[in-house]
Amino acid sequence: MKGKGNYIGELEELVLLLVGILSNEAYAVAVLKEMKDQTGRELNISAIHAVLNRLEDKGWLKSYMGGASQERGGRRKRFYQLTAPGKAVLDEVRSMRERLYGQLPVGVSYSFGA
Amino acid sequence: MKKQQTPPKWADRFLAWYCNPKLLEQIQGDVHELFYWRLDEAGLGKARRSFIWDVIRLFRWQNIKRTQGQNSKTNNIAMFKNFFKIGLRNLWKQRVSSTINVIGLSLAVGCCIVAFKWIEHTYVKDRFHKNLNDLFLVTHFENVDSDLKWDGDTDYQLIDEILATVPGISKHSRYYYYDAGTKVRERETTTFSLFVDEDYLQMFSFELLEGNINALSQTDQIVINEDAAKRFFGDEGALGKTIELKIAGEWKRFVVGAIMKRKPNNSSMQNYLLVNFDHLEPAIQRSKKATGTNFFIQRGAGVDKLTLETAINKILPVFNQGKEESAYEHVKLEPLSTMAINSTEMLHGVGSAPQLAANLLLGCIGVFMLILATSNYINIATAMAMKRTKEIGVRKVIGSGRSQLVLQFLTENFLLCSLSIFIGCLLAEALFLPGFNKISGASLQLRLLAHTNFIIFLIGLLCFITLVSGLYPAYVAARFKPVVIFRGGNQRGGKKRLTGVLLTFQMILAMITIISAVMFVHTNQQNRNRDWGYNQYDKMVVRLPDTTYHNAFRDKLLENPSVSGVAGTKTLIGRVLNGYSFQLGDSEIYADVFDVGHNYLELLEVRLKSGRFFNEKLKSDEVNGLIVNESFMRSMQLSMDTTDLIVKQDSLQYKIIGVVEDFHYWDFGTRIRPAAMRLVAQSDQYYLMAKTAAGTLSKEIDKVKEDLAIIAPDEQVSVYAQSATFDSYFDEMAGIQNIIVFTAGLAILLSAMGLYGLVSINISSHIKDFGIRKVLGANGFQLSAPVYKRFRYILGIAVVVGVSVSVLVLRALLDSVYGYSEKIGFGPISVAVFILLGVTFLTLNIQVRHVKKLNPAETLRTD
Repeated sequence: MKGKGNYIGELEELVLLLVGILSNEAYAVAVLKEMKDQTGRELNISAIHAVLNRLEDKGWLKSYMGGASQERGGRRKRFYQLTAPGKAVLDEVRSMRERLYGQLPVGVSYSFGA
Repeated sequence: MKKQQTPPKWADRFLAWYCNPKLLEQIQGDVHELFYWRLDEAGLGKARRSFIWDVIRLFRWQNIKRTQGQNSKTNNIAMFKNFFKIGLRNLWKQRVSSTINVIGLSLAVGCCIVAFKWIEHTYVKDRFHKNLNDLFLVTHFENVDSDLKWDGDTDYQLIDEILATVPGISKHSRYYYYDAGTKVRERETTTFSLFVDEDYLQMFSFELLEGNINALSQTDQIVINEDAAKRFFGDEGALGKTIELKIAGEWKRFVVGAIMKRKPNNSSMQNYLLVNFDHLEPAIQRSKKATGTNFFIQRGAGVDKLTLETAINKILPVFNQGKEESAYEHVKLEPLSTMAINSTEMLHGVGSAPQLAANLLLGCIGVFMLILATSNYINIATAMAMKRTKEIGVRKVIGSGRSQLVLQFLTENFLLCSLSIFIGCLLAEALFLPGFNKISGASLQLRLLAHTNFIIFLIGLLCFITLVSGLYPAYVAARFKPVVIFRGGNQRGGKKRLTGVLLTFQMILAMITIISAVMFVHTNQQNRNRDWGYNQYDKMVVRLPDTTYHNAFRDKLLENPSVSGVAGTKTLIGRVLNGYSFQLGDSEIYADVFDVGHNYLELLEVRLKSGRFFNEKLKSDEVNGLIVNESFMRSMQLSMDTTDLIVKQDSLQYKIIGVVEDFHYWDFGTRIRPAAMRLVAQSDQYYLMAKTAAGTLSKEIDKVKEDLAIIAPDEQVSVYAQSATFDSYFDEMAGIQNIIVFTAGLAILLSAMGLYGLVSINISSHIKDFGIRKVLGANGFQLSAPVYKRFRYILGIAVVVGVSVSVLVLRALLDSVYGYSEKIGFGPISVAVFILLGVTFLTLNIQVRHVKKLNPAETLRTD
């Protein structure tokens, strides 16, 4: 594994989740569309590529080529799959987030804005 | 017309061009898919725009870089190893051409090294001090005649003020020098003495040889360097010895407390003889004129330069009170590293700025040589590549790409250039640098490993010559078409023109340098024979150890039968220069003034134009008599025979009693300016001049030395010939001349070698041609004509262009070196042209002889 250790960013976490959700249909354009549908965030394709590459470097994703289609001019896609370490990271992030959330004091009123 | 429903072609192509082929399929597929998706959702325009935007956003290093993984790297090493092997074999196979190239390049590299070393040493000064970044010269700006002037001195009062009030100064030293009278073992001389504070040797890192580095804190001790120690005490140890110094008219005794190593060549700060500044204090108190001196400070650790400057500037208003004329505008701390370069910008600067003319000249020589050698290289390498067409063809057919061929040639080139740099360093170390040091008086050394800038320079030079000389031949070779090669076709064409251009250019450079060399030699010759304006021969000059010896020496000289006359003087013509402004009515001129004794001018045989010389019987001549030269009268716009005119020099009034012809009272680097001679009392005359019978001078000088030594046994008596006055100037000029002649020689050599290599390749590739012609009965002339014919236009252009450029440019160079230089006339030019043509002819002739002697059977046997 290389890169900046095991730290996972917000966008990385999102992409990792989406790849997991799309299971066997996860490639860059699919992730981009899914992201738009599910979260409303419109990203550039180059950003998606960068994140996918980074996640693969970290060992949380693995990839293979396949699935040529007409609109791609007969070019193949690179499909991504969630790996066991990738799933473990998602689990860890989630549990940590819930642990922290559970520690929020109960019965406190929050003001709006500044 | 409906636009095509496809992504913009150029963007797609751009993507395909920059993208790593391994990633291209996936990325291109993605953007295409997105394009058709957007086409459905948002229409054509938006889809095309988004496509372009995607392609631009994907233009990032990660997608561009081609190398991935480690496999390809090992392959490269194997490939380069192969290239090296083939390269070495090729160099060996083409020994003659390779040798020509290596010799040429290494000579050029040697020249460049000298030029670099010199130029660098004039720009990079004072860098050896450990505290370099903390040392500053305190300078200031002040209004002089409504002009802001930069001044390197600081007022004594302000120095005290700064030291008392400004925090953050850890060490400081004032820095003041003058020629102090020195007495060692009762022998009196004057010495360039430096008055500094006790911190001086802690601030500046000079190397200690012997003694205590803190010697200056003892006010009765002084510090000298090895040169001074040698001068005063010879080979005996100088430590602990006594030296007396005359400071402000008072003799003081000092003990040598430390001996330093001589200051490095590139140091602006001196260390010949150091004295504690305290000894100068009384003199400063007394003298009203002395207001300031150079003042160096070392900032404390972590102190900001700007803070220091602001703090000093804050006390200026108080200091400026009551001063109208010389109020300080603001103070600037000049870093030690730039002090020398800026020294010409300010008054009272320390150190010397680089001499632009010398640097330019040397730089030009280095670059010229490099151009010559690289042109040779390009020409020969291109021609050599022609002989390797089969190899190139085979490699291409097997599947070698163009870039691989270029790499192969560049590798060979790199080998050759590395070898040249190595030999160039050896040449510089063994020949060029010592020779140059002898001429210029510098002490440059190669010191390869200890000199970072130099290493960077060499690496840069290596890359530069490798690429410049190698790219074109490599490109030409890599462009050959294998089909044409194997079919036996002809590959020649366009590159012939480049070869011609380069050769012409070389010849032009050679022409220019030859003309320069001829001009320098010619001018030096003319200057040596130039009329000095007086008779410099058969005159002997005696320097008096003290003016009290005047009469005794004069009598002794007159006892000598070959001496026909003796005269005294204070300023020795040709050795000392000193001047004032003279006024007549409204006009004011600056004139060099000579204080002479009675009869001195007559004895020197200065030619009287009008009026008379000084008369010993007229008391008035001693008070206000003045003899001037023609330039003086011309500058004052007076006719030559106006005499008895009164001119003023400040409050003094002089009467012009005579006009003499212009004579060279200084070397020929300076043009004759207005000059004036006046009488000086015998008690101020330091020199005696004696006229001897013709042809006896050198014998008499030895004899007079012995005679005078008897009169003054404990003094040093120096006797020399007046005609030797300009010897050091002539030596210096001869040095410059030698550099130029050397350059010209090298330029001819390089061009001739280039020509030789080119012709030899040319002939060897046409060798069958010559064989057949011979068999058919061509005579020697018919054989050689085509060889000469090729070069006549090149030579013609070179001569015409070279001569015109020289006439235009050389004038400026000559004028900057000489006060009086010769015209670039027909004579020198024809000599230069003759040399160039002669060398070219001889070079060609070597090859032509080879052709003439050729046995046609040898060359035709194989076919």
